Amino acid sequence: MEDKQFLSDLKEQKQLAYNRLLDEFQARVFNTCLSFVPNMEDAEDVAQEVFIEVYNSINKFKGNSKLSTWIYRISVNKSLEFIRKKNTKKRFGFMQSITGNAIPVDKSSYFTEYNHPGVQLENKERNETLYRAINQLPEAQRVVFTLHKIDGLSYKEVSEITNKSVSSIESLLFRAKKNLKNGLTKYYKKDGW
Amino acid sequence: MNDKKITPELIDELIDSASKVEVVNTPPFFKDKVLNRLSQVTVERQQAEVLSWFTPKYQIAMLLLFAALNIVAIYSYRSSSKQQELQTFAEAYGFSESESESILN
Repeated sequence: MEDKQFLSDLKEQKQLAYNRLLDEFQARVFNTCLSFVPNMEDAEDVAQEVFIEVYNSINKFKGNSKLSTWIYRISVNKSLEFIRKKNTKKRFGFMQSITGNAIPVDKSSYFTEYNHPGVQLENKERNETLYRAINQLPEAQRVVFTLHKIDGLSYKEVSEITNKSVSSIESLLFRAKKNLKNGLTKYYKKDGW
Repeated sequence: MNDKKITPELIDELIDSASKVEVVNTPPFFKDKVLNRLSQVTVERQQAEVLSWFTPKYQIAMLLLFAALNIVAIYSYRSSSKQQELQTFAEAYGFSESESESILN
């Protein structure tokens, strides 16, 4: 896959190469985006942005890591960027409602409408709660937990994507689980965030 | 999940359920949409390349040249209109040379 010819075709922006890239990576990119942004439409938009970014930045790819690792990194960054933007918009909407330029905003609502087709209907509510709890984790913990637990990547793959050692991945994952336990326990005691 | 049922085991189970999320197929026409957007990016880039030589230093130089031309134009307009005003004044009061040299005099 990662032969030099393919990479040079990508750099020359040949359509055949991008056809092949999409065949190979569209499912992985889409599922990674969906792990971070659990909404079909939003995840599709983010996944499209990932491929546009790959197209625009392929000349900056020096081959220090695997192409798949580089694409995963872009997917994570684009997803986090999307979440940050959505959260800022929500905060701005909330500020507007305080200052009187009222735009009805559900202050407690999640950054996106939860709509993950990979979750069985009977688990939907529980998983939505879990996703809300994950969204409240610090960014580093959120990335590691999502990539390892939801996307099913190994510690080594996560460490390559995040540029961290395997031991720090383990530590981040441990802290993420601990924080999730605390958050979820509090949530169920109070019955709300 | 109500209060009675909450046990650390259930919370663990909930956290572990994250790994049970199934793989989802990409939406229909995803590939076509991306390829279409990539071709749009190429077209936009080609259009942008037409003026790619017009870098900020050229833009500043152009701006300075434009400003200098304007200053020169205003200066020359002012001096010519001043002369014209004097001419009109002289003609109105009969000080004009052209009038004094008239054949009627």
